[in-house]
Amino acid sequence: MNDGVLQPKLSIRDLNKAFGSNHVLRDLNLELAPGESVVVIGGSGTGKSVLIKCLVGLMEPDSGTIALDGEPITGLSPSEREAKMARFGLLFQNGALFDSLSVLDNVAFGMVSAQGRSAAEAKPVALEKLAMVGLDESVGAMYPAEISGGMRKRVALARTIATEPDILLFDEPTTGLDPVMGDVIDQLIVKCVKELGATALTITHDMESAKRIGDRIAMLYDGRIIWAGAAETVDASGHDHVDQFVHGRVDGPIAFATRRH
Amino acid sequence: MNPLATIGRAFLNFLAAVGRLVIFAGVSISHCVRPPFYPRILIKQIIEIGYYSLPVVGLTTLFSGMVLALQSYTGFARFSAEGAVATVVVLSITRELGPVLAGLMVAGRIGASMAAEIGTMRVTEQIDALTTLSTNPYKYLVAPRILAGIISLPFLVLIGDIIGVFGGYIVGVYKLGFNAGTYLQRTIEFLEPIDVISGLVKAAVFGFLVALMGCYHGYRSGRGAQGVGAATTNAVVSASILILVANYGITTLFFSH
Ligand SMILES: Nc1ncnc2c1ncn2[C@@H]1O[C@H](COP(=O)(O)OP(=O)(O)O)[C@@H](O)[C@H]1O
Ligand SMILES: [Mg+2]
Repeated sequence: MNDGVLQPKLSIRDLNKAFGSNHVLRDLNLELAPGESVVVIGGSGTGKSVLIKCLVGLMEPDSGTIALDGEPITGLSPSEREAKMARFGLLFQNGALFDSLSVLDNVAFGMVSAQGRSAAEAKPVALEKLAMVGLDESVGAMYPAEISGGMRKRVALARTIATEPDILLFDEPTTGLDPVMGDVIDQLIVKCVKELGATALTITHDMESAKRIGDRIAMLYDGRIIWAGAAETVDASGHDHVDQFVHGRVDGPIAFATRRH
Repeated sequence: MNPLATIGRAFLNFLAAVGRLVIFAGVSISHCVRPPFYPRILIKQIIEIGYYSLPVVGLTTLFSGMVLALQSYTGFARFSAEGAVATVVVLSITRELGPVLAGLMVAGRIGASMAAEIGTMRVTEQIDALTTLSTNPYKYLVAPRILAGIISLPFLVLIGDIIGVFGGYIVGVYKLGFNAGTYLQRTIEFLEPIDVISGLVKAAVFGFLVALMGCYHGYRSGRGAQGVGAATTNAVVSASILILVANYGITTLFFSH
């Protein structure tokens, strides 16, 4: 990162997405340098999940471009898009594990189904990824319905990193977990991102988690990024909206907007 | 409220729904014939639809065959045509009752469970997860189910036909006093291949319709448990209606010359 002309890994330009009259993203701009971990914070209903869904192609933005290594990935044909999709790994807010498959098959899924590896070939890799998130072989035979919420999150994390994507996206990784488990997941995320050498984008409204995961923090408000800076500087941003959010105050510029949703 | 506008809007909504369904069916079929295929899921679905529906379909056709023998006997006795019982039973079962009853039973069993399963996957973002793992949900979820429906139902109906005819035989021989040999001979005597074949063609179409409706309503399921519940009901109701409509259409194609 020391040569200043490095091309961004992921660059989002003037992204717009509306649902009817509900203009969720308005000219959103964000860039991620290779290997960087960026956390986007924002209240619920501000469009964080919509942003991620636009990135992975689950939603089509109304306008704007998303470029991966300088090449646009918006406006591609479905098959071209599918090929680019393999570069992304997304950890869903609620895990979205396949409940008809065992934990091991869940983790191996991307390797078998998308990368065309055999089940026998994928199994040791899946076990290795499970070990990476602190789960042993015995969990592999269980089904998602049989394990706790924290374990499910870990399995989902293992599944996300199993195909070794370049870009990892985490949608509210700690929401719904107790603080200790939240801390564990945060540490696992930091470790996995580092070991994979991936670029990471996390969205959350959990400030503790944001500071643990992010190199850089950006705040999403009213459909755009209103502030971005190094994670250490977020407590003293000097920006009214960010201050209010970080300190969880009821009064401030955000109050009216949050009630509107 | 302008009543004409209401009717017009309902009609437009109906057309839009038909359009969505046709597009869904087209995309699904195109994935049925293009690799990659998922043979393990296909086999699992065939077992689920074909094998596990056997008891339900067997019982339904057995008792239908039995009641058919009884009814036609009491009816035909009025003009001394009791001898036609065996023929009536086998023709009714193979042409109509076998495929329609099996189709409706499978619509209740399989259509509902497909809609519930796929609907739950939609609601819990498992379908989105498939997409992000570079797996096309049409190919992975919908195509194997539709193929399994088309493949399983004819087998199910063939076995149902045999059980239904057997039900008629039991009543005919043990209750109505027919000679066993005569009854069997009459069963085969007027039966033509087209009777069985038309029933199997119906079965394949019904299998397609049940799986299509289960997948379509599950795929488009609304949010939450309520959405999944509605998807399940819609899948069963629409599949049942479509089966009866298609039944008339196919019968017309085969037998009205
Ligand atoms: N598929 C959709 N259809 C219509 N509106 C949607 C859809 N998805 C999200 N929205 C709306 O977009 C806004 C942002 O949602 P979301 O991105 O889920 O918020 P969050 O920041 O909590 O993740 C909400 O107002 C929501 O109602
Ligand atoms: Mg969200």
